[in-house]
Amino acid sequence: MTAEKLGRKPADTVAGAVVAGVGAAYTIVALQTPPDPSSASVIGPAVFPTLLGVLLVLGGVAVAIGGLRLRPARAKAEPAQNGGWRLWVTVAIFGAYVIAFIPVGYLLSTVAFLMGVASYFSPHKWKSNLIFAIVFPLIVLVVFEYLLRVPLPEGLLAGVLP
Amino acid sequence: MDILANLADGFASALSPINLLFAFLGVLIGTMVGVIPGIGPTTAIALLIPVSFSLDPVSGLILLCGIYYGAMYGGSITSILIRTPGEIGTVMSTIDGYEMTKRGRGGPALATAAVGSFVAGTVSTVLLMLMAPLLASVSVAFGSNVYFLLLLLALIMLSNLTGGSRLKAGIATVFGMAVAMIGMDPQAGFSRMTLGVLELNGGIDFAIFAMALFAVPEALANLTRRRREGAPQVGKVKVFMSKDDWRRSTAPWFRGTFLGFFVGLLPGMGTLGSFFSYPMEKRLSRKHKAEFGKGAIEGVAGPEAANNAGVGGGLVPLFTLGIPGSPTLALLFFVFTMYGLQPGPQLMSEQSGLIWAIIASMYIGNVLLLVLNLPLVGAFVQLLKIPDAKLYSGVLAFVALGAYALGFDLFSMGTMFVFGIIGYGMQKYEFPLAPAVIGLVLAPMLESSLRRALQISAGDPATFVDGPLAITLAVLIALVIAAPALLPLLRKGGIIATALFSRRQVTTSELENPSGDLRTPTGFGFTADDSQAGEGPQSSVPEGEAVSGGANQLQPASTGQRANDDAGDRRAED
Repeated sequence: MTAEKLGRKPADTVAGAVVAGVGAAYTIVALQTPPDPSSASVIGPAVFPTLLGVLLVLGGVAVAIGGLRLRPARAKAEPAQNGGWRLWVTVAIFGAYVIAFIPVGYLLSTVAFLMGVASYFSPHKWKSNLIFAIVFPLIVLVVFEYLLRVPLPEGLLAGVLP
Repeated sequence: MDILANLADGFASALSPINLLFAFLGVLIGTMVGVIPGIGPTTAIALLIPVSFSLDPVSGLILLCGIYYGAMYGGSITSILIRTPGEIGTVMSTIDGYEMTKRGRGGPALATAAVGSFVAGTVSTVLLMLMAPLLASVSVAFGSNVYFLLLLLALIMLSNLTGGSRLKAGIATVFGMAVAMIGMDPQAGFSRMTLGVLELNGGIDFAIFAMALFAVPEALANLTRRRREGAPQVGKVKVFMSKDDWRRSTAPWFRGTFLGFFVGLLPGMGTLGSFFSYPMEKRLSRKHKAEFGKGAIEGVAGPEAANNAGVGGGLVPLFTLGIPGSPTLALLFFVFTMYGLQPGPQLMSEQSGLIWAIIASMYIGNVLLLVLNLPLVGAFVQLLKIPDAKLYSGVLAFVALGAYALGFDLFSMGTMFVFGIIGYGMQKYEFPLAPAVIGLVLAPMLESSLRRALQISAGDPATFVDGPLAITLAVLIALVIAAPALLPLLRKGGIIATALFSRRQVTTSELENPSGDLRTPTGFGFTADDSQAGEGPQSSVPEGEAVSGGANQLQPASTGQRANDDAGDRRAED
């Protein structure tokens, strides 16, 4: 046990601080909850949320302090790097898709989204990407519209689709 | 025989052509989704909840139950063939299952898993039939104080058992509960924690939350991980069992079934019976002990049966007490409430037709699994060859669609997006996601039972130690919380006891580092949803050797308890 490498976990400190911050904000909002008008209740509407907020603060602080503590470093292989900007690009495409979903319509927005993500990660296979990006939403559209009778937004194609 | 008549009615309802079709579709879709790496049963159900809402309750629930069973089997397929469990329940099957595959016996392993699931499904349906009405009649008498304690116990156990840091699991639970507070307070009659946003008055939709937390982080992590591997190589698999395989599997199936069912009854234990089954089979095996960890069929048969029987066991507290014992059961619980059914003591009497139809359809789902899925294993395996970019962009597109179908507005989709990003952050910083979902489900019940109990007792907290049942539960809660402090002592005691029995010398190093000797399968480091975080398809399961060291000294009853405590500090051993 003595020869082991010691290390800190700064990621935990950051995560713990975020949790504690969220907890503090949550507690402040919870404390502003008005009391129950029917004063019969022992536990009002503010009690439980306040308790949860305080627990979040305490838990966050504990994680943050734990991250500062020296402890035997993990022998584990380095955590699989989820590449920074690749993530943000994916998130941005996904966010744009969510926003466009209703105004542009299911079919067009989904074809664009799938084509976008698939071409971003495997740009050389544009043919199979395109087939996939068109066939997948078409199947889903048929299943939802005609089998399950869940209407999907038509958007720009309103009136064009049967 | 009231029960038999009820079950007959249930079968009549479930066997109608349309319901049969939905059971079949559910099993098929479930298996397909379950085979996708990182998408386990819980995620599969969460993804497909919106699909079921357009159906009537019986068909919708039958579809979801089919998906559940199918997805569990999908998880077994990937566990056995490419050593990638979709959720914690199938982690044990990877040990000997994958070893069997390496030795060209993947077919028998898949067959014993399917037949074992069938045996477990059959027996646990019978046990469920016998126990649920019994427990329902008892639980009607539970007061709010007892109910509160039960919920609290379930919540603590669930957040303990996910593996990883207990503190972070606790924070995740509290986070889920905090999200649950958003919206209308049923007792006070006004909304809280909404910051004045009108759309939040109805609260955060559970299905959106679950979908966002289970599917989005997984898809993002798989899309963006840098280490890209080719599709896992899986050869042709012929599913069959030799006479010897049948002979060796039969007893483990039944042992696993009973063990799994009764473990599943406990709140929070869900489908963890497999973790007790594996060491038990190893202990009991005389002729083939040396084969464990090197492809013993018993090591697949027992845990797989236990895993499936746990579903039946978990349904008992769900139907009778309204307490879900696992994330997946929490989803089923949510689906019940969406259909206007309140799981709990009244459900069994008021909606018995529906309950029995579900029980019957679970059974039918099992049969369908056996006759339809086994021949199709080869086709399901082909799904693994779909490249990540297409697979997971498809998952994201489906999540967006699901969020839309739940609210038909941008707000639902935005909620999904925000919680998806939060979930990704939680996963990255090693906060388990399943406890948050459980917290969201249980928090309203926990709060209302607490309020009611204190209202009845006029604010006297002594109500929580009033009566033998309440005291027992309170003591159990105290023990579960204190367990991590007590376990090292127990472990030392265990080593001394083992040494006394085997009359061997105890070394000081064993006493200083007890866990080194009583090592359990490291699989407990997983949770239902973070097992795949950012890792390649082949990467996730610990070496089989990790098990071989200590399982023969391990008391089955202590495995889970120890392992859950240990998962957090195991990293220190290496």
